[in-house]
Amino acid sequence: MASAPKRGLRDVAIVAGYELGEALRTRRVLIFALLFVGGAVAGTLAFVELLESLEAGLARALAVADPSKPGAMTAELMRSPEFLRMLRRLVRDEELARELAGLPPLALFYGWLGLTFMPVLVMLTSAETISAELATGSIRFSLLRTDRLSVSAGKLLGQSLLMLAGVYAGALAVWTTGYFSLSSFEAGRSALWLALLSIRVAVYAFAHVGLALGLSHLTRSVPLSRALALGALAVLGLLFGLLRNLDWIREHAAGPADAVLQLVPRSHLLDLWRPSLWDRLPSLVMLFALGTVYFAIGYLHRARRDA
Amino acid sequence: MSAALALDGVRKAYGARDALDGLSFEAPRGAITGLIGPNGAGKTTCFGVAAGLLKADAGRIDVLGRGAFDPAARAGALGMLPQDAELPPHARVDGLLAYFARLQGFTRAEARREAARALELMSLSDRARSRVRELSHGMRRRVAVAQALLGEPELLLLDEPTSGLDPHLVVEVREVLRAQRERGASLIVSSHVLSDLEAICDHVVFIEAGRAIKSGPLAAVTGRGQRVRFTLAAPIELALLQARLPDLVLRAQAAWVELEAPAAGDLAALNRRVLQALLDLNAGVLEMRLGQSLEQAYLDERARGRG
Repeated sequence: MASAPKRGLRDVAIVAGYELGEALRTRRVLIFALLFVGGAVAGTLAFVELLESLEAGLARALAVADPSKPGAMTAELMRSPEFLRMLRRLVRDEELARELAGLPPLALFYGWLGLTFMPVLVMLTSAETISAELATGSIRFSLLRTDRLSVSAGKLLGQSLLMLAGVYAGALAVWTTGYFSLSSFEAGRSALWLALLSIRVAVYAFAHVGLALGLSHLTRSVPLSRALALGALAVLGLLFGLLRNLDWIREHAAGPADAVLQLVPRSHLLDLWRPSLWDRLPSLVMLFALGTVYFAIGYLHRARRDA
Repeated sequence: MSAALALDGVRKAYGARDALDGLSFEAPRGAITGLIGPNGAGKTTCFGVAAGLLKADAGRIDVLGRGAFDPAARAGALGMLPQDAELPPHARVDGLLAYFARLQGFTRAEARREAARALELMSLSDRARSRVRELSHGMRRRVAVAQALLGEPELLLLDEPTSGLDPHLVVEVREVLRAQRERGASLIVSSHVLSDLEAICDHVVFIEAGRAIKSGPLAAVTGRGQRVRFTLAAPIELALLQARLPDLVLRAQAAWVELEAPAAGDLAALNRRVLQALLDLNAGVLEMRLGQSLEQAYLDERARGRG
């Protein structure tokens, strides 16, 4: 017979595998994932169109020939000192601005898209993972066969893998769209950066998967768990805005405000763009820890209660 | 040998309402125990706390002589049909059962075989590839019973296993439960249809307002072997009968006469004497029955409890 930890890990993997299959069977998650991929493609096409019009305008202003395919002039523009100066002012960080300016435009665009929309998508798809099973009582069939932690952790792993698949499907869609619509498309470099940025998007989204599943443990009501998830997203956004920008707080309680901000995933967003892994690592670790802690709080609440 | 399930002073409250109020009873091994009580008596809660799905507030629970049930350490030792749990509607029947079997420690191939075996037991092999949502209520109930039979558990807790089934399926399920007992399993079964339970039970527990008001072997509770009831076409004068049988203890009420059999004695010979005496008195004997029906025993016990 397998030892308890080995058995636990085996059960987590079994639950996660079934969770993935169930997500495909219910089609709901699939629809959201397709919406994300479709949105990424539509966003990329809009981005390319924007580039096209900007470049055409620029070409007219400089009295040069229109580029036949968009992107060529943008790549040059992104390497210009003026663009770097603008970015530096935006992010208030020389090294970071240089890093961003050096990225393939589509990778930069997808990084922004993923970091902006993946949390919302995750909150919409993962919020009912536990609450729906509590509502119907179907979780009991699993709990007769393995412990609560294995079931909950398996669902966290399953939802995280789903999210990861969604992030990479989006990246693939963006790469394919760019390949066919940008003349200056650097296929290899773009693929590499899309893959690398997707990891950062996934870690950022994991914090939200943990939050959604933590909240999902709190109630047996599916509508309430959805409302809690979207409400939490709104509250965290508001908290971030107030603690980061409100003058009174920055003047009188900057220390405590910064401490609280550590608990808000968005506070770690900018650091995810940093070029050096060592500079990014604290944020990556913190986001992973936040997801785990949010999940654990919800799990511990439910573990002491009836299934 | 210890009992299959022993509860001692178990309490469980939902808010201000006591669902179990010091419930104590023992269900013997290798037998079918019927758990009988009105709606809200605490039967479902009793199953829930025994399986570890619900947290008892107080009392001692002993499952198969090894303390409270720990699904991680003893997965597969206990099979349960929860009354109010729904199977996931999108799941395929065979896949769902194989998933449960895998959580009980079976390999992928073994789990598939075990799922097929359980479905065959419940005459559902032809619906193995169906989705749960495509099944009728009765079929879903049988799938739920099938999941409880996975891995041949030592103890089966079945909450209303025949609820919503057609009469011929009720008979089929009864045969399956008898077969489980034959292989050595212990079963605890609740049902509102007491004639169902009477047909299969060896032992019964009457439960009322969260407490066991009577428990024991079916023969003792219903008075089989101790009492014979003669149902008559019309009431007779008990004194006339008693005069013919002065050495026997007789009771009469409405249109029946009951013989209290002495502990040692030839019951068949006594029956012949009572029958002859009744015929001599021109009483029309419609039915002769050993003891009371389970239903009558239960109703009598409830009436006694209410004083």
